Amino acid sequence: MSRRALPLAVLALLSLFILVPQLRVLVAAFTGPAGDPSLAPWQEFFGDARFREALLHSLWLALATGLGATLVAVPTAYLLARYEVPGRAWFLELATMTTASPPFLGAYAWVLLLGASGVVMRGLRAAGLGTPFRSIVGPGGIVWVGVWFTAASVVLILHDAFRAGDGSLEEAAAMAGASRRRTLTSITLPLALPAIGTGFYLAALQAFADFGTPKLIGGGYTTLPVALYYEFLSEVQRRPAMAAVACVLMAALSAAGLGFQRWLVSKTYPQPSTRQRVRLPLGPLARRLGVGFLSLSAFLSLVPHAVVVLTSFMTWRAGVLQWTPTLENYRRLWSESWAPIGVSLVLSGIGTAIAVALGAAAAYWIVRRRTPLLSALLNNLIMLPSVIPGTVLAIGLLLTFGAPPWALAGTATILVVAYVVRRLAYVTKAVETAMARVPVAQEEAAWASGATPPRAFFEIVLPQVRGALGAGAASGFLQMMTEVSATVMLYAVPWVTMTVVIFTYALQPGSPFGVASAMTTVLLVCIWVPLRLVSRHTTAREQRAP
Amino acid sequence: MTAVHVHGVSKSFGGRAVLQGIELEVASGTLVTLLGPSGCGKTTLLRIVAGFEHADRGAVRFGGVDVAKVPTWERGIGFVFQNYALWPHLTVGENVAYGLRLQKRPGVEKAVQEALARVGLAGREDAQPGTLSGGQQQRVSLARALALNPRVLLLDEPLSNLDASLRVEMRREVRRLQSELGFTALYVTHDQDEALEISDVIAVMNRGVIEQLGTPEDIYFRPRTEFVAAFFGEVTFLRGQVVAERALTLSGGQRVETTAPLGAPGRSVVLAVRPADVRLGPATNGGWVGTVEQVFFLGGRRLVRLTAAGLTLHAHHPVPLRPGDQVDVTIAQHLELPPAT
Repeated sequence: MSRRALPLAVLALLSLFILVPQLRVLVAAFTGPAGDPSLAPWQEFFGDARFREALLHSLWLALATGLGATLVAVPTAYLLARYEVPGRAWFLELATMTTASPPFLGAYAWVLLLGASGVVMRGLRAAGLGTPFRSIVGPGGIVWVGVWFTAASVVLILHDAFRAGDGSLEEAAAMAGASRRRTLTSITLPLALPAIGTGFYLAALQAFADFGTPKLIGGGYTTLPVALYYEFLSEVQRRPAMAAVACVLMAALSAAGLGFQRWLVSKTYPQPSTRQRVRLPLGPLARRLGVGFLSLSAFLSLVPHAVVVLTSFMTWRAGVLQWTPTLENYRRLWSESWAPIGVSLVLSGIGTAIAVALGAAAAYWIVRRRTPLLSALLNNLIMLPSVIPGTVLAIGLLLTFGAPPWALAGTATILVVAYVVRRLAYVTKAVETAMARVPVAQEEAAWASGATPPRAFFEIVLPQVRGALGAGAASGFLQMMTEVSATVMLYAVPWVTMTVVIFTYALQPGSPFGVASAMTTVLLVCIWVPLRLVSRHTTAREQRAP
Repeated sequence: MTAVHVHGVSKSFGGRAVLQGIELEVASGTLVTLLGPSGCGKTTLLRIVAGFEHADRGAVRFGGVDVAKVPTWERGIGFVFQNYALWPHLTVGENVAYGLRLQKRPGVEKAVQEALARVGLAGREDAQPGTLSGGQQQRVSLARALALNPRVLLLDEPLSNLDASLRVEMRREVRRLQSELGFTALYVTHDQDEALEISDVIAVMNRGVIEQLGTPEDIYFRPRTEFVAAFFGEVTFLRGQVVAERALTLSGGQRVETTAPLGAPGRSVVLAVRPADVRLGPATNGGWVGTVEQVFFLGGRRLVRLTAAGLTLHAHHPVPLRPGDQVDVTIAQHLELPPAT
């Protein structure tokens, strides 16, 4: 039937770029050296101490980062959601900004500060004071950076959870004679547990799949994504089957985490919500402590941004920071490295446009469920990449489309495909929520008025989800602009993005750090502008709503 | 002339039969109501006529032409939804103008003004739908559907989201518009008062079939099934054998006197008795004695619930009674249902 032709075509396209590559990886993981079905790659993987170690390291990092981020985020979100804290809106805004940072930014900045020859370390030594540790480089550094990078997103999730309901459950507990502490431990925290679990899962998944941070600050501490990178790109001894096993393991572990999170979310209890929850006042001491705690965690989350912006205006000599203000870094950036800015903007722009078009159409088909099987397939297909680490996704694409007849390795096309595939789920989910709020009857009313379904979609449905579409586009764009893990696997000259340049500079001692900082600053501006536009747009809409 | 003809329409959802062989004719210029409890299939039937759903079997004809292959947007219908379904991003005027613009009709602005004036919303073109009350929104929805001059206007429980007094006002408004403009309409409701008041013809539906089709008076005074009779208020069914011209014996053995004649003795009958048909008097020896269970004060009258010979009866009664009081029950009027086929 013709009304199914378009969704079927999209389903086929998405299968080609999402499902086929992952199946390729799966097959490769079970293929022996002679091309026969075999468990040999698995025996080899688990027989190799390096891989076993990488797997354990990654799991340890994920759990430690998840735990750290949750420990920071729970009190932060609780304070912001439940109490009258001075500067509350400002703290939330800072958290939103932090979530939009490039994933490697923290590692880059903290090494500049606390690396063996970092600014703070040199300062301490110059002042004749000892340094508490030699360098932040190492597993501790990875967790430290990961915690401050992910805590902000967890804060935002938990803030919503702690705002849910109208407080009557807590009031009921108080009337039953429960103390404040008792109410917190027996009512508030159990109700927020699914959200806390979700936050933990997101932070842990981010740490588990992150390639940039461990590469920059790990100091040789092997994690699965890093091992995978070397295993797959090594010129000397390339073993795609090993890489494939690592891919399957990573995807399976991420999926297991998702299963756990879904199970937790299914335990969510609806809370009575007949009025806005009232924020409680804080006593003078609690207020000071609260603001102090919030300021400290905001400060630590934003240190990387400040460092990068500040050092971009300073003189660097042979990789060492001089405290002389200059615009030289920007001049050099403009004369030597403007191309990556263009590449990043163009590829992310095209990727965003495709993701928005596909996401809006897919969200419609998923929400309306006119053909339930097709909706379910589409939904699962689009969600699949959200549990697949970027490195794994890139390897799948390379295995499938790298060689002729596709020969897409190193092209702009494969980068755009990777960006769209990685971010389509986020755009789709953002639009889906808004679209589900447009009653089917409104579309039917348009049909009854003589509008064909495509016309009703564009004139009745789309205008009502513009805000969500914009938000999805902005978040998709900034995630594409900051994408590292898939990009470093897939790029080739001349398609060098800003993230690749910053990343490469950050890895080499003696690099022009000033230029890297300047480029990172430009990148931050590129992602904060759309972010501000979106948050202003949504605030304006919320204020207009009755 | 027949505007809409539903012929042998059946439909199931996931193996559950929702409609079974529906036959219905909507004559041009009349208002036909589909009346029934929720889940009886009335909305599904309406949606099949609109083209939102497709019949598994049977045909829908508009002016004699099968519309199976004609999509909604080419059927020339108007549809009024229970939740109004106004487009919130368009003004009231743009909502009404939308379909007219699609038809590329000249004089859209004037047509919009007229359509709004007809439903008492003249000059409200620039209002946002969200700023209107529920009743006003439903008026806009009605204006939007009528402005297109549809071959048939389909209304899906249009008044059930409104509060009680507004509901009464609006159904008179719909009836007024219908007699003024003479449009053809198919109207879905579960509210029997609404159906009686506005319809030319009522189709009472139950479990996917039309139990009875007829004028409001037909349906009310000559119900053919217990379901139809029971749908209009607190009805008690008396099953028994006629033993005298004005008396029957219930299956439990109790003799019941009626005011109206019952015909030849020996017959088995089912009588439907409504609260207005039951007379209560002081308990005497030999009569049919009932015990008052509960009394509801309804303003102009009292509704008494009583048990008599194991049956629950409802009666209108002018003077106060107390639970536990013994009363004599007589049947002043009754409806006799035709023998079940």
